[in-house]
Formats: sequence, C-alpha cells, structure tokens
Amino acid sequence: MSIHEIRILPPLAIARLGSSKEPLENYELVVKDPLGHRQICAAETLRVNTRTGEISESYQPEMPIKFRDGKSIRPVAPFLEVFARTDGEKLVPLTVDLLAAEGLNPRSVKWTVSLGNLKAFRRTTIEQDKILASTSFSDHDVHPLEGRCDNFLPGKTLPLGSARYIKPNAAFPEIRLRYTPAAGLVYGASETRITADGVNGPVTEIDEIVKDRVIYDPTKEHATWRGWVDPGEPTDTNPGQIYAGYANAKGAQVSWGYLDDECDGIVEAEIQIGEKKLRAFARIGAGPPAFAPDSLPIRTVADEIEQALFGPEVRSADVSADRVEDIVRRAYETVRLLNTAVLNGNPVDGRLGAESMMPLQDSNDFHRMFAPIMATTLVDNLSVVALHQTILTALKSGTPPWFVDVLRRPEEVGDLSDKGRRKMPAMMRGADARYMTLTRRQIDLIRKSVASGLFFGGSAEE
Amino acid sequence: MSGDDAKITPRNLAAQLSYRGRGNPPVTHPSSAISNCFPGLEFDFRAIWRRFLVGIVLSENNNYVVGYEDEKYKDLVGHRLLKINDRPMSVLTQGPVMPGRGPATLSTGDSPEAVSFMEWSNTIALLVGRQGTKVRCEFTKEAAKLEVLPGNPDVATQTLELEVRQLFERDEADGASERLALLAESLAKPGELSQGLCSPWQNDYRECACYYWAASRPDYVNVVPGGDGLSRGDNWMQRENTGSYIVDNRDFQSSLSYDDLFKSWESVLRFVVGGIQEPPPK
Repeated sequence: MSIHEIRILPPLAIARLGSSKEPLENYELVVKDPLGHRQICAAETLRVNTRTGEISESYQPEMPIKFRDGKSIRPVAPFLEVFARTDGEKLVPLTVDLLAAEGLNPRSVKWTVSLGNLKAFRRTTIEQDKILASTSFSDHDVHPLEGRCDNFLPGKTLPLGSARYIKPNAAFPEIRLRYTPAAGLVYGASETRITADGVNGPVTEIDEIVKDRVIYDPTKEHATWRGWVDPGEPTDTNPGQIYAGYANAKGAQVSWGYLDDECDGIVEAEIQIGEKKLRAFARIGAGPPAFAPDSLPIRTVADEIEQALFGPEVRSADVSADRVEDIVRRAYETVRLLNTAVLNGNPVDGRLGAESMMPLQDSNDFHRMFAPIMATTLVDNLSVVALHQTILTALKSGTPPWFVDVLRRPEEVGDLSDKGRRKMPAMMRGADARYMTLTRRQIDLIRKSVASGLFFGGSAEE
Repeated sequence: MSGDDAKITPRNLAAQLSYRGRGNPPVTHPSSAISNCFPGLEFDFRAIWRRFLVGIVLSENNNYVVGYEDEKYKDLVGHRLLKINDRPMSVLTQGPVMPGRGPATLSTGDSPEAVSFMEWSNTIALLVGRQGTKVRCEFTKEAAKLEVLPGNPDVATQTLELEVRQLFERDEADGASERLALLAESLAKPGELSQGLCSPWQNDYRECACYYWAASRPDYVNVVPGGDGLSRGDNWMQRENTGSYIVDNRDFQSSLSYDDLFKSWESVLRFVVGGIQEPPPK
C-alpha cells in the first residue's frame, strides 16, 4: 500500500493556556436530559510518558473531570495526527508500518512548528515588533517554542509552549505531534508603570505584574509598544484601545507594553518518498480556557469554516431536526449564563446603562436613543430560559421552528428600530459590532427545516 | 468525533472537519471557539478573510484596504471596497433618536453617512462559488478614512476585477485537484489569527462586553428563583458569591480588577459546570 498524500487532522486544533503540569483529560459532552445541562462524561485519554515521549496507556479518566490542580489550570494540549491517502482512496492513520512499506522509519518524518504573537505588531505595524517562534525536528524530545523579537532585551524570549513528536510504539504506532501551550503569563516592558498623567507629571508605580518578566526593550530605536496609543485611524483594531495601560489626560489608552503568551500558527509534517516530497499542515492556536465547558457557543469557528467550505445553502439531504435543535440548544446554553435583564438595558438598582450591553453600544456608536430592547418585564433570565426550553420542547415534539421569521438577516444589521433590535439572536454582539446574526448557512438550515415539513415527520429529501 | 476515524475518506470533508483527534477533549475543536469575534477569545477569526481577494489585504473589521500583495494594487491602499458584483459591503443605519418618533438616519461625527459594515464571513459566503474567478469590485476612487455608504452618488468610484482566492487548500497529488478541509495557508500567516485580540487577553475579560460569549466566558452564575419569582445569582466576575448580582461598573472592591486577572487569572476565574461556579481553589 503506497502513500500518495499526507494530511494532518484535525485541520485546526485549539490549545488552551494553563500552568498545571497535567494536561486536561478527555471527555465527551452528552445530552441526557433534553432541557438540562450537557453531561461531562469520561472519554479515552492518552497518557504520554514525559521521559520517553511515548504514549504509555489509553485510559478513561476519573469523574468528575479535573479542570485544575489547585490554583493551576490544566492546559489543553491537542494531538495532531498524520493521515495517509493510500491506494483504494483510503485515508488512514500514518503508522510505523506504513512508513516501513515505503522504506522509511519514524525519523523520516520532519515536523516544523511556526507560531506567532503579532499583537504588538498589529497595532504598531513595526516589523521589529513581530514575535515569531519556529522549530523543526524529527526526534521525540520536547521542543520549546521560544518567541523571538527584534525589540526584546538581549537573550529574552517569549515562551509560546512546546511541541513534541510522540514516539510511536507497538500499542500506538501512529504518527502524531502534541502541542502544549504556554502557562498564561503576562510579560512586560518595564519594572515600573504609569498609572495617570498627574499635575506634576506621570504618576508611576512599581509594576508588580511583570517586574520579573520584562522582555521588551522600549529604548530600542523602533520600539513603540510601550507608550503606544491607537491613532484613531481605520487601520486600528475594532474594538480599539484593547491593551493594558492607563488613560492619559486626553482619555486615550496608553500601552504599558504588556504581552501575553497566546499565539497561533502552523504545524507541518514532511516525508520524502523517493523523488517525491509530501507535505501536510494544520493550524493551531492557543487561547484561554472555556470556563463553562458543558456549554457551546451559538456561533463558532466550526460554523464559519463549514459555511466557507460548503456555501451559504444547506443541501436538502443535510437538513435534519437534530442540527436545528443543536443551534437552539447552543442559544439556550448561552442565555442560561446571561443576566438577560441587565443586557436588555433594564435599569439596575435605579441606574440606566451601568453595564456594557447592546443598547448602550447603540447609543455610543450611533447616538440611538437609549432604550431597553424588549419589554423590561419579560426578560428576566428565568423567563428567557423558559422560552428557550419551550422552543426546544416544541422542536422535540415536531413543531417547526416558528422563530425562523424573526431571525436577523445579515443585511439587517443597520436596523436599530425597536423591531429590528428584537430579532434573534437578541442582545448579543456580532463580528461587525452590531447585533449578531447567525451564519447564512445556519439561517438556511432553519428555514429549510420548516419548508421541508421536517418537524411534521416529513423527510428533507422529499 | 473523538478518535473514530472509520468514516474518514479523502473526499469526506465534513468528516475531516468534525474529526477531533484521538484523546483530544471537545475544547480543542473549532466548535468550542466563538466566532462572533469582537475581537474574539481563541482567535480573532475575522482575520482569516483579510486576503480573500488576491492581491490586496483588507482590514479584518471593515472594508478598508490596508495593504497589497500585488504591486498593481498598491494604489488601492487607503481606499474602501464598496461593492462586489453590485452587492454592497455595508448598509445604512437607522433607528429612533427621540421617544415616539420613527427611525431616523443615525449619522455621527465618526460615521456621517451612518454606515454599518457587514461582517466579512457572511459576505464571503455568497462568493464561495466564485473562488478562483474574477469578480467586479467597486472601490472608492479616492482614499477614504471615513466610512462611505455604497451607492452614494457624491462619491466617485472605480471598478476593478479581482480574483476570489481559493479559501481551502487543494490536493494536487497524482494529477488530481481536490479541495481539502483545510483553510488555505495563504489566507493567514502565523500570528495573524490572534493578532487582533486584547494584549494581554486577560484585559478582555475585564474590559469588553464579553457577555456575548457566555458559553466561554460566563456572566450570570449560580442562578436560582428568588422569592419574588425573579432570578437571583452572581456575576461571574464578582469577588464573592452572595446570590446578589453585582453590576459590572468597574467597582474593583466588589469585582475582579485588571491586576487580579493579569496576576492570578487561574485562581480568580472559576469554572462553571451545571450553571454553578466552582468554589475558590486552594
């Protein structure tokens, strides 16, 4: 069986920061009670021998899953597996035996991991502010990913985690890599920081946050990250001024030059078969933990990728009640964790607009008259949760999703009328700063489920 | 799918997308990552679309041309992309400014034309079938720092044909050319998918209205019915669980501060399972 092509799966994997030495174990999210929380159930976990780099066992973790060890959160450290496209149009895990059949061995696989933290560069646009880490290897050692930057102090780097080529063995002969993210530390540019523009000059204090982790050198010729102020240009991030610092006398946010150890990048695997070099890559990223791990967001990166891959319209054959229910469940899981009365813009303790929420954004961004979105008496969390429970129950009983008519269309984001703001999803912000819409594909799925009569026992293929 | 690779075939892209990897928990999969990015948590995923038109680089958050990759488009930097194949990139913003009055055009000093830009993702979705082909792109004729409403007759425009980039890698092995479930390498370089996030990310948990990502960053926890029939519970960011929600008005006596998060985020941010916040770790 010859290898025609290699791929890395999953194509996009997310690591999550944490300082514990133990990575998060595996689990499944299972819906047992249709109106309850997803249950976190044990799932196959692979234990890596830290000395040899081999997988020593596959096991089911004890429940409940431990998300932390004391004050340290367990990092999420994903495995990336190499698959091979072989004769007969199969996509199978690349193993030691498959390599051997091509006259290769595990050392024939070359991994390259390239990561970046470009947060400072994104603001300053100065090339010397790019923090990049790259390493290549074919062994099974732990390879630290040290972010390097021209504007760092001599010898200083930003640790962005590590990568390890898992050593295949008889029980686990597959070719895989594990990326372990960094601890989630904050780094800085000075042992002191300014807290305000005082009458007699800047007010400074010892910076207890980063004093032991100063890596950026603000005295370098092209180093502007410490002291950076977003210029108010269309090239700014949106939202803008979202970096740690202080508000100067003009109210502008001035950067302390803080850096974190989040990153994203590319993992590559290469093998040479005769004259032919095969290469595969996948993307990885390192972000914060998901703090409500039994809930899933209503609109996700997976939804975006699916829409880009398959288009805005769902084939009739792919329309299913389960998929519609999944969207509603995710909405339910989100509102369950929201103080919907506050986010509606209701007065709280006699005060209006005490908290950031969409009615306030409407006023801030477009000077719309401040007003709650829905009737203030209808939006207590228990009422909104009950509404979503009713919808879920109705879907389960075969009632079509009536809310298809009140879903916000992407072209309606400029409609800040009372009626426009009450469309679904409500009270939440989208990627364009205005009220959130679902993806076109999600909307089409819900629409087609109604049109097909799916919920009356019809078939989407009819 | 966790480790079940039985259904993975080279052409089953959906199976490849849903594949999680053996031993990987659900939070490794893109279905756990929010995409209403403003700016985002795991990624600022808006950045994946910046190069969807071959030759130019757009802002992740609006229709402003921030760069070029083909010299022939260098003069477009600073201009705005108004329409693609006659479909506008942004819309008019309207709403009431006075009680009892109908919707008015919501002009501001920052946006005199009351423009709401529509996110890239749902715009590009309509161009999925045009990958690798050219589309008519209407740009402002002049550089435009302020947002421009498409169709404004007072704004001079220019129309160019640009190619929609292939959004996914293709397998060219053995003379074939098949799409993979892998976002194209040319769309984003290492670091670009997280570059728009807060620095440090902890800032976001304090700064922004992150309540729009409640499944990742909860807001209202330990919720129970109160004696008056209304809900009672805690703000996830309040220092102590009292059963009385504290509005987050940056009162750091009762709510977590920036420095709490920068210094001790692992111990002060607590997991929520079943709607209940775990006790403070020891």
